Amino acid sequence: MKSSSHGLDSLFCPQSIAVVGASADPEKMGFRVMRNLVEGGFRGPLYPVNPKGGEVLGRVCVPSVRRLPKGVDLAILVIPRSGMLSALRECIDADVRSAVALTSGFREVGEEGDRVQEEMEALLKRTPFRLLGPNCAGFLNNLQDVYASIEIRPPKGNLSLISQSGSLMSAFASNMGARGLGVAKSVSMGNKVDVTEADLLEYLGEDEETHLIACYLEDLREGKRFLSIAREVSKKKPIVVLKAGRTPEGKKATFSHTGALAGEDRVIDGALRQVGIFRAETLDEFYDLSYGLSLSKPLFGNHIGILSDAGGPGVIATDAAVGYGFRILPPSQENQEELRRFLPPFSSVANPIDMTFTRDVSWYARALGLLSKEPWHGFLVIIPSHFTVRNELAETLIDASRHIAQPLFVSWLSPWEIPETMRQLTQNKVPVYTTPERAIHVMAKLASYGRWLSNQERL
Amino acid sequence: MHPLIQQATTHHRNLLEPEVWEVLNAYGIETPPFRWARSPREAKQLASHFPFPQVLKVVSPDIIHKTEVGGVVLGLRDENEVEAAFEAMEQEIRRTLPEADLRGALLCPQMQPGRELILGKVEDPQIGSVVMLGLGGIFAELLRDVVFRKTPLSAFDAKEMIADLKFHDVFKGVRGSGPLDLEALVRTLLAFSRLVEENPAIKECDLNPILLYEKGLCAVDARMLLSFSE
Repeated sequence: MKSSSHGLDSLFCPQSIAVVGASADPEKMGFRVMRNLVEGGFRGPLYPVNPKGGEVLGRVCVPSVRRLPKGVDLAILVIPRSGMLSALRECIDADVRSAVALTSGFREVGEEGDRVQEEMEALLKRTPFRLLGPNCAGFLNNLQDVYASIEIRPPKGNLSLISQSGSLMSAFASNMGARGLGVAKSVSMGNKVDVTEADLLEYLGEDEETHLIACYLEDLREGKRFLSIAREVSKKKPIVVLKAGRTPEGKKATFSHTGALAGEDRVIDGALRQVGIFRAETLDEFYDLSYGLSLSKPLFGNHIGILSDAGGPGVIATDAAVGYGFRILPPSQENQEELRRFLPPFSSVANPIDMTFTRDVSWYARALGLLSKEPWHGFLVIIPSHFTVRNELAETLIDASRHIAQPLFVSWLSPWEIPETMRQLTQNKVPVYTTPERAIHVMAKLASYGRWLSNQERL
Repeated sequence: MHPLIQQATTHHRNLLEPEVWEVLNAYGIETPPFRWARSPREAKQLASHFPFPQVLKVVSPDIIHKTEVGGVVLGLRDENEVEAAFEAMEQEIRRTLPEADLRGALLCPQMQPGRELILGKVEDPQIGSVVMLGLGGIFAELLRDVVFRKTPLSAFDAKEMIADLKFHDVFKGVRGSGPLDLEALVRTLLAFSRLVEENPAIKECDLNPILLYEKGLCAVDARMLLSFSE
């Protein structure tokens, strides 16, 4: 481990790529990686490497790494474990800058794999060459069409993922895609022989295309460094972590009560919060947080307004909000009177504001315009199911969100009408959830982010 | 580094409880006022320094769990009881633990009951020095209501630790008690953080319990494990 993100540019943004172990057999990884790169539209020179020669997807194979032109930026290694050490040595000799090893069979299988991995570690320590993996699913730089992976090519966007598990790459991208968001960079770490979670966090923290970093972690290779980098990155962009291994306590007789209670998970949980990281408990929450935090600004206070045109959902939202420590105070007398001027007589102009059956979409805009002058820090607008003018309503909410200073969240109660409206709102930076509780949960996280940020600036 | 810790690590030994209390006091962490008596007669004389009832706790490098060997006597009402308790305690321990190296007893006034808390420090293999705050008694053992943070702590960290306890509502005061002194608790958390940061030889430490009151707090039991290799 080199303890720096130095050199990761040639990995993520290569000008040239070699696929070592490229194959013309459509069943083989060596083919699927080539196809992903070609179909993904990689713009630089692409060299399949295979000692048997031949062609892959119209490109003539180079017989060995030694025969590559000097200074290739990235080698994708799709070769058996037995050839790994010599391939790495050849890459280093041929001045290849970085590599990603998709091959499995190392520390995760023990014995011989363990031995090879140790040799790899020793070899890499002495060079500026960077290796991602082995035993990983590769990575993708979606905005620059680099697909060093067999995973899907997702919609383009500004969310980036660091994952211990390769299969989460596609799952994350797909779940964000379904909500109208896309991915910038997505990377699976595997055995972390060289490149660690801390290197990747540092790199993505500085990456301007990345607006939010989602991490699925199973262990921390460089815990202290990861935390100190996270503290800096969190000041610029949100980090969401799903950390597995919440269960075992590893209880043994210790000197102190503190030692006995220091299960790994509790310790990590506190340390993650301390550096401004959002910890998700479940995959659902991981998606909800990644989605909402990438769209919304933090809430710098705990007073919110809830706007609805039905009683029940407003009550449900209020219960959830109070449970998270939000304050829901009525608007000023003056604003209450203003609201009464255009809302129906049965409306409630306290908070939650219940507009009753809303016939006019513009009421939302007028109400939000008035209420944005309250000393409140965020809004939740609850949309019931009877809207036939939902595009117009979505436009109104988008427009309102641009004219008020506070973050605006939407709870759209009927999922079957949501997909296109959700995209419309999402792509205009208005986060939308079906249930008010989920929206309030994310707003609560953003309020604690606001608290954290205010306290960091003071330090 | 505190001179007592420095001296102890040089001699490859841990601190005795009166020494731990002295270190805590030096960092602004409150304990009851105390004296270290080496004999029953000395204990009797020292008893005049404090109000009654008083508490005697055995001092020995060989005894970690004092209560289990009869090494803590509560509710001593006058200096004669203090003297007698010292004699009886020593006799009892000499009988059950003949090898134990006895260094007298710590004498202090018995504190009013308060909300029990645990404050501690351990080394985490992945992230280094961490402190723990927990609600004591049943809250710690059964409900495991504890919160960790990495050192050093900021004032914000300290407040968040308190807020992150599941049952932090107990600090508002229950059963007729007023709100508890959270400012004193924040001060103590910061002092404890400074203690463990400035004394990396402290490998593990427990202040258990700390009694939190409407005004102030008091650590009434403390143990510290030092590492000598550093």
